Amino acid sequence: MSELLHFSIAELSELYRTRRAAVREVIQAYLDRIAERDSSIRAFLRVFPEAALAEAAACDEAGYDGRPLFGVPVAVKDNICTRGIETTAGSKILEGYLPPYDATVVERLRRAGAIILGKTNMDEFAMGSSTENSAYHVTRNPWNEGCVPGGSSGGSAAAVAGDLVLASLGSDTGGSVRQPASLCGVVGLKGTYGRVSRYGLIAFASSLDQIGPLARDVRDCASMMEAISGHDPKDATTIPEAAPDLRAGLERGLEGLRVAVPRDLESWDVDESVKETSLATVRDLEKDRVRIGRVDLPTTEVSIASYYILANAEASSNLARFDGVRYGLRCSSDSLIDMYEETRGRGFGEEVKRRILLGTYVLSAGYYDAYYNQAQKVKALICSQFDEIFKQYDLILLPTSPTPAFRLGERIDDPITMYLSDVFTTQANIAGLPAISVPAGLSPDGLPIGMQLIGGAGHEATLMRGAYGLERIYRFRERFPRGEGRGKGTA
Amino acid sequence: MELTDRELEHLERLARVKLSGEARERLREQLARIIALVQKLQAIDTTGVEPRAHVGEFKPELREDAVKPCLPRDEIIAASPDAKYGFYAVPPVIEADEL
Repeated sequence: MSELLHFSIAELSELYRTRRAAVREVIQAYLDRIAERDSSIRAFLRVFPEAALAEAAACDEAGYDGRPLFGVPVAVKDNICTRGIETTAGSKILEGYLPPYDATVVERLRRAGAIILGKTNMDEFAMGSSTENSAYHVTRNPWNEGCVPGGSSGGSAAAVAGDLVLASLGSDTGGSVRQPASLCGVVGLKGTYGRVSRYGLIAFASSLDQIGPLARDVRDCASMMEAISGHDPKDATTIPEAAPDLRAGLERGLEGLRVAVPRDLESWDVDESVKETSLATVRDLEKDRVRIGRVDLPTTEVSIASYYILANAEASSNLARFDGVRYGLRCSSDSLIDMYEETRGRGFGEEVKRRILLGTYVLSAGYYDAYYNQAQKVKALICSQFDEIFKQYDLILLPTSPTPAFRLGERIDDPITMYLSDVFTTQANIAGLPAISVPAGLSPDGLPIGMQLIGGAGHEATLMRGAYGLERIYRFRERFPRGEGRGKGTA
Repeated sequence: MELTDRELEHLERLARVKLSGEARERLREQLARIIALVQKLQAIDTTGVEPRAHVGEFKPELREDAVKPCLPRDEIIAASPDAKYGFYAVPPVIEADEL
């Protein structure tokens, strides 16, 4: 494996600045790595070697210009629009769709100097927790190819974990950045609702969706987040503020921060290795004299139920636009209504249909008050419960996922078990709070375990400091360095 | 929790999604189980609580209603499976004998 693949974003910038590496060399090294590893990991739906090398050559010709992501190879989830480049959201209904515009985040990545190597695989329309719902192919976890990478941003997580790119973008509606980050041993961040523009993101649930970065470590993740954050006139829900500086305070770590831990953590129904990692983290923080207190979180049962009502109601409405008229697939028929029904019946996969129908059910006449309206009231309750916690604490610490990566095929026939992969992540989406997953350790089977921090609304800088503090405790990348030995079966 | 065949048919119509064969039967069963799961929410006391649609402290701002350049029509229509004369083409909505 080329040593060029080992450098972080900051290190790479320094190499470019001092002319010790050419962008073309670095991009070629990553493309070689993709050629070698992605035939089995299958993180990508599409790779663009020529375009990437041409951009790299242009970078070299112009010389290092100090842009924060100059010459950094990245990947973008396939529900993020790229002008003139096929964008499918992992669905057959959008096969061949060439968006006429770039998403704001794509524009911003390019403006910051990043080079996009390809589009990554995902659960169809971001609905799933294993990437097995992709209409195209499954993606394998680089740590153990018999296991899922998590989802729905499984391709973006596996691409970073497999060293196929330095960082990537995913989208997080109920944990779709953080859960795959946890299962793949990388860092994954979802910002405050409204922090990152969704212009050009194929919508799933508009009151919950946020685009977020995945990277090898907290500092790289912060660099990516700084590049994509900030107000965008094209998305009226973005917070009217410039992107916050997330790297300046990192070194202070957890110093002076107050951390809340779920009161009943010891009795949580999670994998033993996840529980041990959580409790070990609490002990480490106490040893470091971090101020820790116990709090009651909204119960997972309540947040999962309200999440699946809100998310699917909104999805049933958002996905109404896939009607065989404006883009993608059309199944011919003699009448318009039959054409709609045939196109959508054949173009959507089973999980998407299940969610559209559930969303339709909870919004339909006679049920609206009992389900959607009630879920919005519960959302209000969850928000005020978090408000109370953040009056006394800066961060909440909890696991990201109840289990490490599960086997391919293990949960795919049981949607409810699959939904429970998100028990610890949906709350941050419901309340619009920023949250991050940091790799903490390995299970006895050699699979990564991630720990999650949730921060107060608008407080990404504090969240990143806390994450950096955790990273220094876990030293995950030092303890489990990347290498050729890893990922070929048992770790 | 039961989801009858007629109820499912109604949902398929509302959602404009046609299901068929064994996938339809499987979905009916799974949907019934998922509805039972989300029904648990009804047990929560929300008396006096206002439903909340939006999180965050700021109110989304309204832009000025001014004409601005947008993407060229032809580029947008190019993504359509069928277009004629600069319009989307669709199967008949009204039959000739209904006119």
